Amino acid sequence: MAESPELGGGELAAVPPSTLRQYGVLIRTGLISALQYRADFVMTAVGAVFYEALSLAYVGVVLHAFGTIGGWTFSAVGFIYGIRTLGHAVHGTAFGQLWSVDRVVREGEFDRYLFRPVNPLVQLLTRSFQVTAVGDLVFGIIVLSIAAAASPVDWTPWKVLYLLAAVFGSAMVESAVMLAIASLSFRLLNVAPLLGVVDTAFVTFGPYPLSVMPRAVGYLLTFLLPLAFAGFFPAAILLHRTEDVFVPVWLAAISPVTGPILLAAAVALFHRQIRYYASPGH
Amino acid sequence: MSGARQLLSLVRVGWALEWAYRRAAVLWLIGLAIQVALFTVVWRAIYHDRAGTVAGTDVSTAVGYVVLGLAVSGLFNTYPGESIEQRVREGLIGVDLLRPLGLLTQCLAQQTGRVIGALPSLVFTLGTGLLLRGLAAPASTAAVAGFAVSLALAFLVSQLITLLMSLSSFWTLEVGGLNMIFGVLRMFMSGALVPLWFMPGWLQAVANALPFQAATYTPLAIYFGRAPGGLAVALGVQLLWVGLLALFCALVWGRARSRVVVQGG
Repeated sequence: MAESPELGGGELAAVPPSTLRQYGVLIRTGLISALQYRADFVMTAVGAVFYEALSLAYVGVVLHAFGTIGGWTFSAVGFIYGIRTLGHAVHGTAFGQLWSVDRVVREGEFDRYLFRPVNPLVQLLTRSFQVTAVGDLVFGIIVLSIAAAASPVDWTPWKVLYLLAAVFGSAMVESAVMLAIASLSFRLLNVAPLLGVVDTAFVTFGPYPLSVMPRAVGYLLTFLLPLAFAGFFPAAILLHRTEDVFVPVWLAAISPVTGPILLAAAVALFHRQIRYYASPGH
Repeated sequence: MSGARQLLSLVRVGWALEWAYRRAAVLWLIGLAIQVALFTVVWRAIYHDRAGTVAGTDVSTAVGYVVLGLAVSGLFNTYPGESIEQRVREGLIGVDLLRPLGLLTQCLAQQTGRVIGALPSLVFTLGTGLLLRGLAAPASTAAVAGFAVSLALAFLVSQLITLLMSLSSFWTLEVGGLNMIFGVLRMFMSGALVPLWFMPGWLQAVANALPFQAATYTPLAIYFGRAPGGLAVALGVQLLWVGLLALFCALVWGRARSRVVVQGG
């Protein structure tokens, strides 16, 4: 997707900048405009931290009262939570604007995206800077650092690399699911509640060792809503708790790769769904 | 028009607003039902390898608590979407101030309407609980009576909290971040998701010092026969918060009145 269009004769000198560069320029513009309102920027970022802290507090209270969940200790569950939190933050940084896809489609802002020589999805994702992501990222990095240090893993460079890949994979799994839902907005016009439900599912189930769920729920969260790849599986691999993994171990081990695959599929889906866009007429 | 009729008309406005966007409202209800299902599954999973009780709570109480918690918070914590914040932003607050009823009365009447409009949410939250066999019986008949009284007080507390929050928009027009912090604090500290008795002591102390617990946790705890400090004390604390919050609202409004900026007015 999103290759710069081939110009008929190579003699035309003006080569459009790469998609990545376009993305960079647009993000920077958004950041500059968001920074015009400093107080609001800070409040929103801090608000985001509180929002994340709620889920941490919830898990923390449960573990305080119960000690372990399905044999997983505080630090082990904290490790899943850490991967998921930073993954969620990375997802929000890149794909946070998906929450406004409804409005963009309903109010015809999408018209503009189709006229400009930049990929429409890139324009959607950069329409303004996701301020909440700043708070989420800071929070996520702190939480995962503490959780990784407290976990009983003997850290080698390879394991650190696997952890980083798992975090980005976790982000991409979430982005893929949210993007797939967002693509339905061209037909449904109202997908925010659906995004909300999936977000709640990610937040509610995210930090738990899914092995304690009824098996049907576990499979549902692996194959229908691929949440297991976004936290539980890679954590189980790093913690050597493969006996809790309810799928073939190799499938759990390749979790970091499932993210990019799913995301590529979701991007393709989005571009196919664009053709159902009907402008409200301006 | 008599005072009562004026009030009723505002209640009706709140009710209508709750259902202005039907499809969005229905999707919100489905979302609530799914939330109930999710938390039911999670709590059962947490108890997965435990036969007995934790902090004096068995699995059916824990599940019953969260179903009831989501039902009560879904009903009371209606978002004041069309209230002061937006009206200050759009300058409509000028019109509100010309009405024959005080602004606080207007807001409370509308919020009440919204809560009445949200009553069908109980079918979704409690219905889902029933389907998943997650409803728990009350501790005793006396507990039901105490629960009913406490629930009425909780309604007042939660509406005053919402009102106090929306009054803050007289100081800042940009309340997005503040609303987010507030919503999260309310959800957690009210004990809607997790009963206060599971919390470590210091966190319980924090929660007890805030008004949120009087808006959800107190009636639920009474229902399960664990009234904090005994029934009389629990209800007394709620009453105290009603008085304090009403006083705060009056004070804040008194100060806000002098600094209203009517945009485009």
